[in-house]
Amino acid sequence: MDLKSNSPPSISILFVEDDEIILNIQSSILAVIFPDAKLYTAINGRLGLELFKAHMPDIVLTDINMPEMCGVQMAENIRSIKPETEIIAITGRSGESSENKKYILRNSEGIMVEFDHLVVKPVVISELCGVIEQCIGEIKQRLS
Amino acid sequence: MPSKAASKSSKNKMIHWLYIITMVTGLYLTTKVNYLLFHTLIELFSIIVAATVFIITWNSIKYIKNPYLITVGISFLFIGILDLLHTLAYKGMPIFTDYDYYANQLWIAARSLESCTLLAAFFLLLTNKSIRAGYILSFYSLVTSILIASIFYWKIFPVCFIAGKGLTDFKVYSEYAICTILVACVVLLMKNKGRFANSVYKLLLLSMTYTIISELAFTFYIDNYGILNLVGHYFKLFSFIMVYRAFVVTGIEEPYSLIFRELKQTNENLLKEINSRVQIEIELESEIKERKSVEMALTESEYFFKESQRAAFIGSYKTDFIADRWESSEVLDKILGIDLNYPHTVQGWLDLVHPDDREMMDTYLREEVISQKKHFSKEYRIIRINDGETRWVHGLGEVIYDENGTLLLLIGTIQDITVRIQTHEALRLSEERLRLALQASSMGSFEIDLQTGEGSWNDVEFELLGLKPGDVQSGPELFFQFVHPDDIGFLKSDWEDAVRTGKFDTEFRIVRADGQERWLAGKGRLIYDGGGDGCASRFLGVNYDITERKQVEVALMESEEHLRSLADSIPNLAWWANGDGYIIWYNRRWYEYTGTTPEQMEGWGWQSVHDPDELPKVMERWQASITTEEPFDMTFPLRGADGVFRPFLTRVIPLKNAAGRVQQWFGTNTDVSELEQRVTERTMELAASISHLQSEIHERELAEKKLLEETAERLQAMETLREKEQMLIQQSRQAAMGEMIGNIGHQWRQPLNTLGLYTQRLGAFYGMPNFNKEFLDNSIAKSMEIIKHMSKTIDDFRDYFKPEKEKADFYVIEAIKRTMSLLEGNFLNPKIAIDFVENDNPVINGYQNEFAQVFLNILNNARDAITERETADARIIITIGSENSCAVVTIADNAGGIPDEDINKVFDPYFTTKGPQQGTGIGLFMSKTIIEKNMGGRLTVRNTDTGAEFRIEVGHGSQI
Repeated sequence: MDLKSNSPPSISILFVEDDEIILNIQSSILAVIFPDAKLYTAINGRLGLELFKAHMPDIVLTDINMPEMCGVQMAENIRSIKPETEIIAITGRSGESSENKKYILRNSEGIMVEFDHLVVKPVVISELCGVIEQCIGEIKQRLS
Repeated sequence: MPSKAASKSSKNKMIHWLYIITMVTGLYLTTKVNYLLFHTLIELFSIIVAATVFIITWNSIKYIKNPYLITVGISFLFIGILDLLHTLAYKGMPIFTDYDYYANQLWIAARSLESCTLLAAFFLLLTNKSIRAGYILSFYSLVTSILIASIFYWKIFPVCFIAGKGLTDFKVYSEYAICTILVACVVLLMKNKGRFANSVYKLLLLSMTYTIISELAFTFYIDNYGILNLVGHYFKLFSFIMVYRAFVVTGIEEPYSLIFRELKQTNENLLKEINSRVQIEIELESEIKERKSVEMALTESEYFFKESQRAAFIGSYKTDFIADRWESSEVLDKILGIDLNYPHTVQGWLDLVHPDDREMMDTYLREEVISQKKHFSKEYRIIRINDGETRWVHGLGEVIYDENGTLLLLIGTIQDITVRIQTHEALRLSEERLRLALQASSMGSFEIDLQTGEGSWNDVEFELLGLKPGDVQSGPELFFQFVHPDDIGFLKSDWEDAVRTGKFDTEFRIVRADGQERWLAGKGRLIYDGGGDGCASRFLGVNYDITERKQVEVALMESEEHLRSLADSIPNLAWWANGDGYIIWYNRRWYEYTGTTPEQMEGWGWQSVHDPDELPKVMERWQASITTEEPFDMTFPLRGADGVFRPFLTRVIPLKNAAGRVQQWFGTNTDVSELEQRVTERTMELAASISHLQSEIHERELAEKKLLEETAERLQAMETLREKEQMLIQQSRQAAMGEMIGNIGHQWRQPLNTLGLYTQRLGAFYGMPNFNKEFLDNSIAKSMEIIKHMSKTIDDFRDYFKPEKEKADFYVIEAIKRTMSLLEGNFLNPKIAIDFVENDNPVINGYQNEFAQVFLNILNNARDAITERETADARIIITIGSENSCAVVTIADNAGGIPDEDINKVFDPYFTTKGPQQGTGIGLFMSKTIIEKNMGGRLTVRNTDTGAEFRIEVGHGSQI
């Protein structure tokens, strides 16, 4: 599998995860696989949202259960700022329901947000990369 | 009312005085006509009184026990005779014309007789000698005849009056002597007040006083027609009026108070005795009734429990909202009691729901299932179509919507859970009733673990010893502290035997905490483990108060003792026989009269003292009595030691037990005189009362036996309930296990993810410049660290589920910290701060995992309350310390506390404030059982200012 091909420099990715070890390892792996992409990392939802507002990345990878602001809440805010953002949830739970190939997640406060993709923990890198590739493809398609 | 009675009595008094005044004036007026007329009237009155007193006394002589009254009553005939002669011989009466002053001599004679009689009668009363009335009558006849003869015939009676000179010295000194005697009588009367009815006592006292006054008046007069003579006669009249009222009025109008005074007292005592016995019987009866109802409830709960074990059917359905149709499985049709013809529409489905639940269902469907897109899960009631019965069902379902959010389908299952709901309710009721029944029957129960020697008591057991339940650690050692010092020796050896042989049945005394001495019965048995090794593991027993029975037994013993000594002292022959007529005891008099020995008389030996000619008839009658169980009554001759046959009236009464069968015969042989017969009757009465006591004891023993049988059954029922309880603990353990597995999943997901990433990073970095030995070692070390952590987590969980067979000492803080480590992550969302306050590091001897389960339960409840109420700044404070040699753990939250109406119910089984999906209602009930029954501690709850605080107290184990 040639993972390094077709990654235009314009693509930027925001990765939000509250476990620092996971955040470090996973982002280092992503940096190796997508050397051309711009990668931002945040330790919780609130910081993630601030980074998003500052850099408006194309793709958001996020954990769901996090302190200060959970993934669902953050995703809702991102959707209101930039609806076409490709948002990928990385979660321990399996998807609540999957209709129209979209994934609806609901947090404890009852907020429901539709995610474009869902990756289940433990993360399989090839699967995650496949999903990111798919997102890049769609973004490119939209741009052209 | 009182005022009316008072006015009536004052009116009576007035009339009474009016009579007296009229009489005194009327009599005085007669003196104007003729003093002789006055004298004759007054004397006539006293003569009539004297005669009446005699007649009354004579005719009721067999009932009067007071020898004083008998003597005085008889003497009045003779006083009357002397007074009659005095009247006839009075100066001016044209009868004894040879001498004018016979009357004065007769007066002295009469008064002397009267005063001496009154005094002598007291000596009879004080020495309690009874003299035959015939003797008294003869004696008085003789004395009176001598007196009359000495006056009229021999004329040797000293001269009392000399015409013109007045009274002689003899007369005056005689009157003084008479007065002295009367004063002595008054003193004696006052000293023996208790032997007379109050009214009689007062009247006698007045009568004597009046006589004294009258006598003093007579010492002064100089003329038989003078004023002092008049006063003397008035007082004599008053004195006789008092005698009249004492003997005649009281004797006729209120015979009981005069004659039957002693009998009346006896009757009252008897009545009291009967009342108290009836009370006891009523109490026993109500006790037994109560026990019956408990028995019924237990049977009922058994039935429901069996029913619940039958397999539960689950039916399934699919409802299409667009087509307004639903399909049902065969089982569902059975549950709902419908067939294919039933309208399978949404309306048809709604019609099945019980009318009372329709609104609730409607709200639930609209507000929770549809608007919040939740799963359908609800327990509700339906009315089964084919028989109209109300059934509880549990419905589960999944709602499916289309892209636009329109309701498409509801697919799910329905399970009939009626039996489960009924079982829960019945079990709860039955446990409550059992507890009440043990309480109501005042039966203490104890259970001793033979391996550890530890015991547990019910509340009544504590109360029997005068202790407050739960104040102190129960157990045999504590119990022995309260046993009476005289009984402790045999009780301890009985107990050792009991543990060895399994039989325990004893009666002993205790000294309660308040110093009261009581009798207790103790019974019990060993309980063997089912496992086949046949080892006795526990001892179950009951204690109950038998003081009352013991008291009756003592009363019986005393009564029997009394009867024997009485029977030995009476002049009659008396004996006891068994129910079959075999004589087992004779009194002393029997042996004295017949001159026989106990050996000769044993059994049927008595036939040897009978007249051979009469014996067949006696035997026939006696056998008939034994057969019919009727009293025996016959007169036949018995041979005395001197060989002479004398006729004896023989009376034998049967003494029957509670079942109405003759237990013993009591017989007396009496010569036929009246007095002896009365003694016989009294003895018979006593024997009857003994029979009554015996039958009461028998009844009590029967009741006790019944109580014991019922207790055995109840212990059986308790065993069954305990098994159920064990099952429930297992059930709640499994529920906890389910939750734990969820926790393991949660705790493993994160490290697994990290481990995965470390592994995959190796592949991603391969061939890059920084992929060197150092990078590789670092990755391996990090991975191993995670693997070790995960391995430790698994160990912790495994420890938690490891079954504990024996109690062990453990540190409370360590147990809590270990439990907390299992819950890592459970308090992050919502974020709950956990504060530890460690005041001490106590040790508990018990089951660590069960303790952890309790802690976990309480902590989870706190978390659920905080989540449900969305408490801001949520906080749980766990305090660990020691108080009064108890380890104390408190768990306090700030979620607002338990509502007042629920706080007393939180430990009840099946009580839950959570919905049916989250709460089983078993958790806190089991927690209480574990802490209080298994570990002998206490689990309580209270509301603080901010929330609920649970408190666990368990006695210290030995320090590790």
